[in-house]
Amino acid sequence: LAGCKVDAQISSRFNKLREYWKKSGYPSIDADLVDAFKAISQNIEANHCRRVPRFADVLGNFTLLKYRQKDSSAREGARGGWRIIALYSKSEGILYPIIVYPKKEWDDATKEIVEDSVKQLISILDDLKK
Amino acid sequence: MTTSAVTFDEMEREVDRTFALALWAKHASLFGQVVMLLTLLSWALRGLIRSLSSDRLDSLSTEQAVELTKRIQETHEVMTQLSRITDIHRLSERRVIGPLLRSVQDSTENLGDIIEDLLLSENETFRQLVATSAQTLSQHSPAETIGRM
Repeated sequence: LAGCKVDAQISSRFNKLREYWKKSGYPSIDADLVDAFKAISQNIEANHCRRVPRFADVLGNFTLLKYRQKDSSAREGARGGWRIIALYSKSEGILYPIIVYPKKEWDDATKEIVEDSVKQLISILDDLKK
Repeated sequence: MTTSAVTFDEMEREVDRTFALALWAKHASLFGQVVMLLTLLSWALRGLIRSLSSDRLDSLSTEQAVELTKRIQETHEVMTQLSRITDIHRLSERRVIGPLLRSVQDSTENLGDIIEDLLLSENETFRQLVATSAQTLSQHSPAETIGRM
């Protein structure tokens, strides 16, 4: 099983989102992410890894990957939980998480919900810049 | 026909088959019928998810991807309704149909993630967010970062 290094510090966006979710009713996010990155660093295909399709033209040498991690403070068990979107540099063997969100905030997979959720992400990042 | 047209047709057929089975399962009432339909649905869902691999989705045109997303959403909606009904009646705790239902629920979650990925790929704001992250990271030296978690 191929492992990788995980650098979760370099992306300021990722860390802003992590802080935001921690203050917004998700106290276990830090511990959950440690668990996720431990598993992923041992096997890059862990945690339901899936390559996000149709982004190749904006990624350069990176691959866009999406992972799941259980939210240990939630009751819904394995369903729901966190989604982590990360850029992977195969040549460096390093995974850079860039976005994290709780799946239940993006539930039902409709166009409107995904659009609103992306707007919310941008708004969180803009607010935290101030 | 082009390769992407063949791929699109195959995907559409998988979606249609799963959608029909999902509707049928949602309205089934006899226990034996429910078990048989859930078995077929579980198998069809796994086939559908296999057919929606990232490589195959990459090969679709924008119009095909938009059309396919709508079709998968219809199926996902029925699957979500089915999951809610089974959750209300706690059917996933039953001995015979419990494992089948959990398999169907897992596949429903996978399908939801695929829809979400397709919608994100069409969202210009999100594409820009990913693109700027990739640009920023490509300018940074990896030697400084090794082992940080």
